[in-house]
Amino acid sequence: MYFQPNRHDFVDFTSSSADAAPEDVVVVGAGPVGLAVALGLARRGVEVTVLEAGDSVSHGSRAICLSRHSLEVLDRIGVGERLGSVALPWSTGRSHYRDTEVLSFDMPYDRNDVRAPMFNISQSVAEQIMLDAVEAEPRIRLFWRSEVTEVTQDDAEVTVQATTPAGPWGLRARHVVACDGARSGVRKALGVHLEGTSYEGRYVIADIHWKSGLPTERQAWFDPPSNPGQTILLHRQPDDIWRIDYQIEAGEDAEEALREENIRAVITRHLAWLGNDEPWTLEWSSIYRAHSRALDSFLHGRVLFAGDAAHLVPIFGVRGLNSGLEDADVYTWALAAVVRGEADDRLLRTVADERRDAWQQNVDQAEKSTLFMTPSSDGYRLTRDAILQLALSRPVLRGLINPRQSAATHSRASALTYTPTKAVTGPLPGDPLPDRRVTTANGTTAGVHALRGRGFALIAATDAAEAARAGEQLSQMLPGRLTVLAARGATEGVTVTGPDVCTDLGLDEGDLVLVRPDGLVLGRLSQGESLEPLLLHLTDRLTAEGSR
Amino acid sequence: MNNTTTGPVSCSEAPGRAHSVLTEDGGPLAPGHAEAVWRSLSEALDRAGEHGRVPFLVRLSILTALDHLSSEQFTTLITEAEAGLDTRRPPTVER
Repeated sequence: MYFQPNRHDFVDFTSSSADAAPEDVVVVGAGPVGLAVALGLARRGVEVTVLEAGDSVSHGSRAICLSRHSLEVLDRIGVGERLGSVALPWSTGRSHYRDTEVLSFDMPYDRNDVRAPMFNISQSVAEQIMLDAVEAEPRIRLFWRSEVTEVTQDDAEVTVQATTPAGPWGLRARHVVACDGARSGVRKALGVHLEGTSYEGRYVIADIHWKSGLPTERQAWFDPPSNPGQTILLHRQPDDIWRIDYQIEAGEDAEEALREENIRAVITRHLAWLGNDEPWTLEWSSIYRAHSRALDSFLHGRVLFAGDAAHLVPIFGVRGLNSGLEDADVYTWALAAVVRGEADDRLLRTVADERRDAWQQNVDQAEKSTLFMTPSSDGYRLTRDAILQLALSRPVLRGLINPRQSAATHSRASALTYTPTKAVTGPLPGDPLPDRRVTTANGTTAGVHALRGRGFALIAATDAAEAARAGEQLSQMLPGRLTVLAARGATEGVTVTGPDVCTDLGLDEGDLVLVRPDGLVLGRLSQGESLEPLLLHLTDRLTAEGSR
Repeated sequence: MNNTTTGPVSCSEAPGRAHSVLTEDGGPLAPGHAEAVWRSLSEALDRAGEHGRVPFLVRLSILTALDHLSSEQFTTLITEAEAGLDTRRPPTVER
């Protein structure tokens, strides 16, 4: 049964009065990024109001591929387990040129990884799972059919005006997070614009219900005999739904391309060529054009921008929703710390700059994939075809065909990242800490991120007592509670992981790794290095203006 | 690590390895080099324009062969490139 979203009624509510205290946070947009921001804040004790212009979660598969890092983010906001039980994990892919397989890739995945590299699930189903969690969360109020049309702000607060079925409505908030998508009303209201590149190539994307024994993997066909000249992508989703993407001709009319009989003709030819004799039904279709565009800054006054409201990345390599969920993960711990008075406002500038840099990291990868998938000129088209023709005899060319699937971005250049004085092995400061399986001293097996929780954590390749001493000093400088994990020994309040996880993460004896709530390594110390410079760094970067 | 790209070596430095261009330190050709070849050639083809493209490719092939390839290597590469020409084949893929 193809997912059909429920429609939600508008619920009347009253505007903020002038003498009432402003709300802590208003989130604009109840797409997956807005819902993730709301859940991330609420799980940290912050009350949130969400305004959504529409009346339902999205319809259609849209962003179907979630990275293992996104599942980790979704775990932190309490929906990862349910989502993971529905989504289809995968780690391999194949690309074909005409009738010949020219690339087979296998993303890194071993028995100590908590999750497969990728998961397929319809965006609409993922949103519904998140919405169920939002509706069960008393700290979140969600108002449908409330379209933000005006945003004004001063040094202390933001005023949001929304158009609703009951007339105009106003709300005052200390902070606004704009997650209202590619056509962001908040962006328009503030007069800020996305800058960058839009590509010519367009893809029809379609969901079909089809019973097939093909495996869950990414398949791509360039110039297939079924549809000469086209590029076709195929992904399995849960419940016998398959996603098919195919490029349309440069001059082809979008409306014509989306006519049901035209979509059916392309898909019928391709499935027949694959040897299909099962019936199938077309469930949903849309059209897509690639963009690499972003705001110059993701923080404007007291308004943070996240997801498609802040940045667009080409679909190839699936960095759109995955980067939006990263935005949510990074913003929510920082915003919660600011709202609770545990960090000063400058932290919001730091994380906004980190996410702008992350967009650039994503674009650097996605643009290569896009140039290959939708060559922007005759030159790129000629070389793409030549590379496909030569890839079998020249393995080095296969790397250019690889779609470079999304991976977590780093914050190595962030003002918050503490750069060590000594060389280190394993994750560098700013890198995402891999989620590796750990068996603790008491026999519990869990991922390292589940063990460390959703706050700051210290992972120490030391004795537990030594880790506890370092943790005690660090916790004085950090928002929220610090979780301490140590390699050996036994001390109250310290989880003992055993030495294997330290070896697995590439840590040397005596190493200390300070992990941020979003799983990025804030800083590292080697054996014998003083804690003092790191403590000063934290004071300077988090609380220098004395809000604690 | 031995995959640092410092550019293909000349034929005299890599005798008898017509199919495996090496870096100067003897390691395999790095993916970064393949990407640079792809992008710089694509952009040069665009600059050459539709009518200048074939003459440009001929000049580039001659220069590449003269500077980096023995006659034997060049003949082998011509054969490999001819095998990759645009010929339609019936579907024979395993399903």
